[in-house]
Amino acid sequence: MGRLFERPRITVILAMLISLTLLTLNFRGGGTLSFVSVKGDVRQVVSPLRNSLNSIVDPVTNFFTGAVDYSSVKEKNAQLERELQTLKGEYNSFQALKDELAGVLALNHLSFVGSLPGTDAQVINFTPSNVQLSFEINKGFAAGIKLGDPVVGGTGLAGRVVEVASNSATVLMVTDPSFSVGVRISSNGNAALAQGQGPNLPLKLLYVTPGTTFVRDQVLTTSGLQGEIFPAGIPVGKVISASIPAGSLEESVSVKPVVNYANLQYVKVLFWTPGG
Amino acid sequence: MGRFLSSLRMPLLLLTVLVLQHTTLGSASIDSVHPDLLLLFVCSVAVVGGREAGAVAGFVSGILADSFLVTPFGMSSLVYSFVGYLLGESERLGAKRSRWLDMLLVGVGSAAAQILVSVGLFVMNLSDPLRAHFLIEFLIVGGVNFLLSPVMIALVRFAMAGSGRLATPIPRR
Repeated sequence: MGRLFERPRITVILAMLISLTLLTLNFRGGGTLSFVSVKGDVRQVVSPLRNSLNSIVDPVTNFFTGAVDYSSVKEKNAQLERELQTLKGEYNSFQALKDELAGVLALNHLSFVGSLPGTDAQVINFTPSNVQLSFEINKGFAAGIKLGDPVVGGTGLAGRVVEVASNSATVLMVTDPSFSVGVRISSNGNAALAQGQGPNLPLKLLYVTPGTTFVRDQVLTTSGLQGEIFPAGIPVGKVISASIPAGSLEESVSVKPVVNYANLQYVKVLFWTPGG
Repeated sequence: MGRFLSSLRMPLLLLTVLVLQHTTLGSASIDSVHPDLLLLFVCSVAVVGGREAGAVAGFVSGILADSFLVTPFGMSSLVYSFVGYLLGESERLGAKRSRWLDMLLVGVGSAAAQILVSVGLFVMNLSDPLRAHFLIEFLIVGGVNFLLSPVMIALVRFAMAGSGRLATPIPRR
């Protein structure tokens, strides 16, 4: 009888009775004892320790998981790689669409075009030639485009139509050496002629009135002269340098085209009749 | 002061085990079965400290385990204190038990506790212990704890030496 009530036995009976009481209370709805709050308190104590330890243990665990479960990790990695590639592809096409949309929207809000009629076109190809700097667009006379029509990008003059087919047209770029456009110098209102000099080279400004002052990044716009080949007020380029070479009577002015051909995807062809 | 610090060893060990169980170390799995470090602790305490220590460690560890589970509060403490007490009976075998027997006791005790919890949950209509995966679960928990037991037993022995609560072997009759 004495052994029945020895201390370890009483302890375990007590522990089990308390546990059973807790279980019963738990099943009867908790009564006045809130189990949720007790659980919450314990978690609150352990949580900060757990977070700190996780930051130490995680790399070690990852190492061992990788070592023990190598084939599964490899397979998962391959699957994730495939998913990543798909998502990257989707992201890139989304970005491309976004850029295209921005380009088209920009063309519809060109302040320098005003109320001039025109049509949007997509640049489909840059002519791979060293003798002519031009690009092809996906619209031709079927869309109302005719020879000599000015072509603008989102930032300014891109060129002039030099060939037209039914559903395509070739545009001579501003930088082509055979391209020239009359420009207006805003500081004194005088006119000059901007001429292309080749790929990646600035335009050269000709017939500048002596004594004309230029500031860097000064924007030159079409003059509307030259028999009004181009409508007036379209940005052509920005002044990047101006100087008077020794012994010369004329200023040497370099102008960087405002249109960046590397990013040119959409253009607007203006239906413009010279002199009209 | 030294005695006070020594008496803190056991709670600190339990806290460490609890935190380890709930970090990624406890989240590691073999065939989707997680090791149960709290059970390892309870069984080791019982083997080292005897019946009373096993029952108390089982009760406290069970309460802590239940705090992180959605199972009924009191279920783990009921099973763990019972298993802790039963394993503590090994103190009757005397102090000169082999290390292998201690390891075996911890492994079998862990698997038994896992089975009892499953049965308890089945009685409460919260689980089906006849699922095929349960057998693997018991084997893995028991096996892992069997392998980890030398380390835990050493730690428990160190912690209990501080509090002077190492089991006094009961002489065999």
